[in-house]
Amino acid sequence: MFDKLTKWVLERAPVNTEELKHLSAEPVPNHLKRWWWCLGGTPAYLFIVQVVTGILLAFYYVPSFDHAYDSVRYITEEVPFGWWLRSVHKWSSIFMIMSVVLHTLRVFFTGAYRAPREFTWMTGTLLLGVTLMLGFTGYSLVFEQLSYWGATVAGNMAQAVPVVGELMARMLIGGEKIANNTLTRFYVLHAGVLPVAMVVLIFLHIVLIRVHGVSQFEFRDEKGTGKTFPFYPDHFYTELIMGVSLTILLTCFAIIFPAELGERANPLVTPAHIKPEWYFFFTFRWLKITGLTFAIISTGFFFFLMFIWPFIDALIRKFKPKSEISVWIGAFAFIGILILTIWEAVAEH
Amino acid sequence: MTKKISRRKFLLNLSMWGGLMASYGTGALYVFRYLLPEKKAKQLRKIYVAPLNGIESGKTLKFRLPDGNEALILRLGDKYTALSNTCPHLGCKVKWRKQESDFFCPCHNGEFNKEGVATAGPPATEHKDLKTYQLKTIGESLFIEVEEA
Repeated sequence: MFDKLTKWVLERAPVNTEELKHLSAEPVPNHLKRWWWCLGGTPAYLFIVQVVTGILLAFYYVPSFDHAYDSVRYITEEVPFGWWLRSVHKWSSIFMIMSVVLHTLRVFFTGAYRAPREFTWMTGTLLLGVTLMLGFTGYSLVFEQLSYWGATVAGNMAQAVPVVGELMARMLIGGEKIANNTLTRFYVLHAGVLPVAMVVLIFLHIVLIRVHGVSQFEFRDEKGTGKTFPFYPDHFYTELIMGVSLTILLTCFAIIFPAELGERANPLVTPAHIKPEWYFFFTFRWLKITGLTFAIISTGFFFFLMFIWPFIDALIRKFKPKSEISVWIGAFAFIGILILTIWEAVAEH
Repeated sequence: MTKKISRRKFLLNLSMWGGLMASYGTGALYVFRYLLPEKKAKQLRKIYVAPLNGIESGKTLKFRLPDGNEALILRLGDKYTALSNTCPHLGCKVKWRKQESDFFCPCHNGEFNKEGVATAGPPATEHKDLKTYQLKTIGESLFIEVEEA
């Protein structure tokens, strides 16, 4: 019976299962059995969670100046399981940013960005940027006091970018000040433009990974063994276990620390203490200890350097082949960001 | 050809896929509940109709409701009844017949008694009575209870 049904389906959808099996059973290096090598698949899984929960939230969310806050309150307090979906959406975004950062660090400190994988790294840094922008626009959509003033600060920061700043800020907030246009723009970015950009970049990232294969990295105990294992089912199951564990973790966090709703946005009163989400703590602190223009230019320059780092590293190693300068620079930058983040987290102002 | 799998592997697959389906199935159930529009219990509100002695015994008063429909308030002695004047058969308007002490629908000769229960014609065959409304008396005033829009 089952064989007949399979035959019937295959006649109408002639998928070459053998070819599929061959494609999915690509041998991957043995080091992928280590759990922290799942950090690439983790954000992809979390992105799917975000797309699903995001679509569901969009059923009730109203992106307008007058109704945004009330619609979020309605989702959180009145719709059955609305609080749970909103909390899972929020926590999956936080976990996604954390896993993308950890994945970036893993790739950087294992030198996996080196030739011929420069483009893989570059698409990865763009993915990091898109993830951060998704976080920022999503946070602003809640339209509570902190998110409103966070968006105001961001708009003013954009203005400080030399030459194109004024235009950038106008384009971002859709006018002179945060108003109805801003929310619509943030909503379109958050629910349309950025997720599409994310899908395209993830596709490119995966294609590049498949083209070049996973970077070879041997631990001391397996040097020279050249051991591999098939992607499917071994690594697929590892990712599946990671996904299930993440779902459990997300639900636990959603129940123990549900997404809260602060005061309604009030354009006339700035709160005494404003802070962005934790992943922007370092830029916020950097902004406070340097000047606005300098902070903007230096942060932009930092991300640009990060984007083209594989080529800078190649240049360094051309002149000093055995040098570990890249690792030291990476460690210095990471510790710097960590210090700024902790500083902003503990400081009152 | 059907591939044979060991009992151990079968149970392993069953528990894994079963567990996954159960957990994500629960999530899907939550999602369904989230998307299902809430049926809210309709709130009733009172609307002033007339003073108690404003309706003559044996006669009706036509009262327009906020939803656009009309109610007939019938007074028989000290008893007041409020009924919709829309025939449940095909929507024609019923009239009070004092002589017969009933409501009559001219479209298909439907008849309803003074409580609105269908007694003859197509509404009686289909067991479709006139819709009733609750009336309240506060002091010397008569109020009708209608659902909030």
